[in-house]
Amino acid sequence: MTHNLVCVRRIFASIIQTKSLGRLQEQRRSFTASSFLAARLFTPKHEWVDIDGKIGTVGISDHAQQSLGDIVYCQLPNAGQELSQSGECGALESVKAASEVYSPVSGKVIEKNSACEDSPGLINTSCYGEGWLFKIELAKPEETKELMSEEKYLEFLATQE
Amino acid sequence: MHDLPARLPGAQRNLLLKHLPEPRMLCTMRSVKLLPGTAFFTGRRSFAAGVSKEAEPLKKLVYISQSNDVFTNLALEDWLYKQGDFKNSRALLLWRNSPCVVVGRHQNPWVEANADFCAEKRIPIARRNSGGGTVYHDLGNLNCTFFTSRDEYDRKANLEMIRTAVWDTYGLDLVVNKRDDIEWRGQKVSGTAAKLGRDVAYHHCTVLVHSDRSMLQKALRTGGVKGGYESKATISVPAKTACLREAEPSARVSDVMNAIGRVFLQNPIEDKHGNTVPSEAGGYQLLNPSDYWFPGLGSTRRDLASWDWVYGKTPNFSFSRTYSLPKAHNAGNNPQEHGIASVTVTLHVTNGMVTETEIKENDSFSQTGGSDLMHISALKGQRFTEHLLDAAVQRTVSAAMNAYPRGSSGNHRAFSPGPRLTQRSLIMESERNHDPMDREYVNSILTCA
Repeated sequence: MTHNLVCVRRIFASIIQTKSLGRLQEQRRSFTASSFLAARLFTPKHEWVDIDGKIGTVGISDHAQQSLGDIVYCQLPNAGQELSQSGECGALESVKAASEVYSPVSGKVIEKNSACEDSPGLINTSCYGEGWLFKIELAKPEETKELMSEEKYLEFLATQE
Repeated sequence: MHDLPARLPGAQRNLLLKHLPEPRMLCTMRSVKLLPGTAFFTGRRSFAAGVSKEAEPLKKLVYISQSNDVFTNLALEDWLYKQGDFKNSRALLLWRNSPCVVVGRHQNPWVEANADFCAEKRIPIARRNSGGGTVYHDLGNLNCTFFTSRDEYDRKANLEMIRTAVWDTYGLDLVVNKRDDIEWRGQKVSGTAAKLGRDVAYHHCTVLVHSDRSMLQKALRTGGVKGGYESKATISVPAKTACLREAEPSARVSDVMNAIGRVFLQNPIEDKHGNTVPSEAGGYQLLNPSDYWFPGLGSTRRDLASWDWVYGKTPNFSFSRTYSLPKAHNAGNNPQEHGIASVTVTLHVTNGMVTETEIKENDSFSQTGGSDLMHISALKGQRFTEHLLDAAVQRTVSAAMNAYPRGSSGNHRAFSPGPRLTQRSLIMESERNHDPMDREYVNSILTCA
């Protein structure tokens, strides 16, 4: 009886292991593929910014979205608002927790994603796509040097676990 | 020392206050930006030893606020959140308030609190910084705030400490449910909320020990009179509540306070991998939340108590109400058309102020004689309340009635201005038709956090 239980447990453990390994590899693949398309940069606090000329699009990472859980309220900075790097610029609420959002770069907000304010669940379902938070005109482009590439961010995440 | 009652005799309290740093010391440290919070409350020693942080055990401290004012306590919590350094320490703040209603950061106080009842009983309405739903506090309710670094934030572990403390003291078997509420026999005794920042996070929760539940029910709008409001604000999930005293008649806030504090100080701390982290129990400290001890606390308190924060921070919303008004003059010759006209008025509210007014003429306002809509459009730019709209509609109707002479028609009673047409005669359909048990409505509130 106990032996059987141990066996079952081992089988399950191995299944879980292979599954998570597969997921990790898949994730890496998708990250490498997408990094050719967009040079998305990350902060250690799990925000990302995708820079196109002087305009950066900001959002939160998949890891942040997952650890927050279902997002039920999204408060974003308004167009015209001046933000400083690492400054508080909004809040996301999920399962009774209000999390502050910080800007990865300094600059002036030119647009917020109202779709997220209307349906905050977009951040969960598409944090790198439709679930972007706001667009910002970079005031200090040199700040991006301090941010991590996707590859570095993934390595950083691995060290956090 | 660990079994400190909530209210201490003067001499003992003074003795404890000696453990707090000199206020001058607070200021010096602030100015050199070496501050923060918890570490220096323990005095010079731990501050000086702060260099070799890796080797030092995690310091645990229990703070007990001496204030019963909700705004002061929320300001104290915010002070510790902003100024405290919880890299190498953890703190539990225990506090309780005189009767008040506290709404979540992204909630609508008009929806959540019974404004008339609160005004009558002088119960303040406060907005906290954390998420979650609305709660009622009084001196029979204990609030616990657990401060940790952002990485060590763990609600389940904190709630488990409360569960253990209540089990140790009263032998009551409480259950932590999926929503992180603590229940006794399926009834909620504790509600949870949290605030997550860059480096620091706090989780706070209520523990109902012997609160006045009839007041709680009256002060909160739990019964579904929420009709008419439309917004993205988070909505509270109503739950049946119970107090510990119902299960254990001897339950007292001070005992629960001691028990939770003791478990907090004694329990080993585990990291993410389940390894025990060395920690040191720092003991209890009474805090006097004043500007003297906590520079800047007074202005934070003022901000938290201001209209701009409590009401002005309400997520944008619209409020509609349908009024049944007596029909007017031009129906005068045809008795068939006498009766009631239905008019729906909608106010759009941004930052607590009316920004747009909209009239849906279900049955045409003009039929009621209210063609002069000045009184309603004049609401723009005013601070929103439900009564504001009722009064404006009443003014519109009264103006119309004064404009027309008493007709020869049969409905002259409906025309007569003055005391007969009081607030009560304006039937509020939005409220009447709103069945709280309506399935769709229940579903919609259950999906919210």
